[in-house]
Amino acid sequence: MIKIENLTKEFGEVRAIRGLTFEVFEGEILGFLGPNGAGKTTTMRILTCFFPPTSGRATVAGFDVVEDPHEVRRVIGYMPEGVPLYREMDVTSALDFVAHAKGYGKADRKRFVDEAIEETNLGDVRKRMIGHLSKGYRQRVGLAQAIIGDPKVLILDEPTVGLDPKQIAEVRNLIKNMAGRRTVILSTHILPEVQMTCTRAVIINRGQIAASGTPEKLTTQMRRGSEIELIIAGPTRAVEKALGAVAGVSRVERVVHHGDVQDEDHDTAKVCNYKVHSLNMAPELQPGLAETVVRHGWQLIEMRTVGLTLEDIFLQVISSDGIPAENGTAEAPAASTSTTGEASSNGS
Amino acid sequence: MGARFLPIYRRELKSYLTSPAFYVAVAIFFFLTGLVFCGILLSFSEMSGNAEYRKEMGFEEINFTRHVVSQVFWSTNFFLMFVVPILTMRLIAEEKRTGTYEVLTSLPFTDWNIVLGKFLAAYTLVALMQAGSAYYAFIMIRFGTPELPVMAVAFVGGLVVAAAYVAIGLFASSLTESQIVAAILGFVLLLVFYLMSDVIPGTATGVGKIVEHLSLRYHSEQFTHGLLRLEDIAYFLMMVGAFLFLTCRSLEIRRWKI
Ligand SMILES: Nc1ncnc2c1ncn2[C@@H]1O[C@H](COP(=O)(O)OP(=O)(O)OP(=O)(O)O)[C@@H](O)[C@H]1O
Ligand SMILES: [Mg+2]
Repeated sequence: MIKIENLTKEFGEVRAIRGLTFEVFEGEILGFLGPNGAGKTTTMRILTCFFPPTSGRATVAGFDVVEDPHEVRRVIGYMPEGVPLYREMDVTSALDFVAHAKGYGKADRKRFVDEAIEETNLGDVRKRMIGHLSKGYRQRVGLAQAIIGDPKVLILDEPTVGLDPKQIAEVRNLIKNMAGRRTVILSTHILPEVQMTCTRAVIINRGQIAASGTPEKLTTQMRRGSEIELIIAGPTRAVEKALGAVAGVSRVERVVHHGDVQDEDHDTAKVCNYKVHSLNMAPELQPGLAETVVRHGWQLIEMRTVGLTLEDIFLQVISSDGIPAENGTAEAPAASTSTTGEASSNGS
Repeated sequence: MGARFLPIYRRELKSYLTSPAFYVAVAIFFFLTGLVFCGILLSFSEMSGNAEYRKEMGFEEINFTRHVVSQVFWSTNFFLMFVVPILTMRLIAEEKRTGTYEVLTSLPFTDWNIVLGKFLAAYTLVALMQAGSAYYAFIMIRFGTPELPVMAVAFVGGLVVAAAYVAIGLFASSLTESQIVAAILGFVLLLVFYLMSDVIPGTATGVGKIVEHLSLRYHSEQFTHGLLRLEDIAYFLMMVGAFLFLTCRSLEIRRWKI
């Protein structure tokens, strides 16, 4: 439905996005994640024909954003960052304007406006001036404008920013319920949002894809570069040293509990938590650790792989050391994109 | 698909009715034109009182059409130069400032649809204001002896002149995100185009003549004198076309630049 190939946008010296390649398939809800300044808004502005890319190609429903902007505009609904609205208009007129702009006649407009008001729960403010509404309601007006006329593709730039928890839940539900019916790309900084509402996530950082995949896939992928937590009864310093010597371990960290006496002279045996980091997380790592503990005659009370949350992955991905390179390009093999691309353009 | 500008046109008209700038512009317009109308009538009655004396001194003969009708329409045109930029200042600048321009560009409009819709909306209001000032014309007919054809030409000419003003104001609004800057720019542009002919000596030829013929004043004064010439109408239509075109270009260039 949306296909981005090698997209680059430069603002003078600033390279906002560099060689972005990814695809959003029909019916998918794609979470577009990244820290401030990653290039999310810039990408969405290119998709909505606000400005053209410096190089590369982007198509929406088979239409090129540079060559066929008019056709692209027909199939998208867009809610820009910060939800700019005509504050001097009332809710119904603003929605009617958007429906009119999309080329619908009077009867259709009324139906679409009613539908959008219903879907976004704006019934009790339909005649109120937008500038007088609370932020949450304005956000919903923005959403209503985007979905008016039932566009095939929705592009939402930070749709839940600044809402209270109840409204966030409502908006997420609204978006979640679109899965299968509409193709949605939504940007966010909030990871649970992606886990809750999106079928797939693309994480970008400094204008490049850092990782992509389903939330579950990302979590498992990342586990390979993660950590093992052990609880061992034994002399702390000796344990630390021995664990550090096991093949594949990059770093050992003793979790110091609050109130622990730091008696470093007497390496007495006690129960302690350790975190073992490894870069490659080889399969023989865990047996190796167990064996070491047993060999020294210490007691291994517990050992488990710490499941990373998407939060950890995000921080890891955007930190400078990044993640193994294979993840960055996992979603963009030429063969798979071209076949699915054909399928989606046939469908439209 | 011919009327793609219509949604914009309707939305702009609706927005104007809730915009303070619109009411300020209307108030300024009717206050100034009303004031000057009274002034013109007073000075005319004074001149009529001195008719004998003026004749003796060899001054031109007083004439209601020349001394009242032309003056009234001339001053209406003149005040529109202040009022139109106030009306047009928000058209594009405000959308850029609040970010609604981003919504607009994601809707199926071409730049030309946007420019035309906005132009026609502002022009409709200006034309309505001019129609409102026809009230002065009724007073003149009721209490004076104007030459009706001159009055008709001046009135219709005024509508044509105003279209060029609006196009220039709209262009100014596309150059900035600040309404105030847009209003000042619009006013300065209008003033430059208006006074252009004044810096040219009457005897000028060549380039000087061309500059004179590009001036708003040169052409609009033909109308207020009651002359309906095709070349003046063509000039104003050309100005409208040129500035609407420039506005489109300005939107397009800024899109490539940002
Ligand atoms: N109009 C512009 N002119 C110059 N630089 C720009 C412009 N728009 C964006 N940039 C730069 O491009 C980069 C990407 O910005 P963008 O707004 O796309 O980030 P983002 O991912 O949306 O960030 P955020 O999460 O803060 O919204 C930033 O470094 C920004 O400063
Ligand atoms: Mg952004």
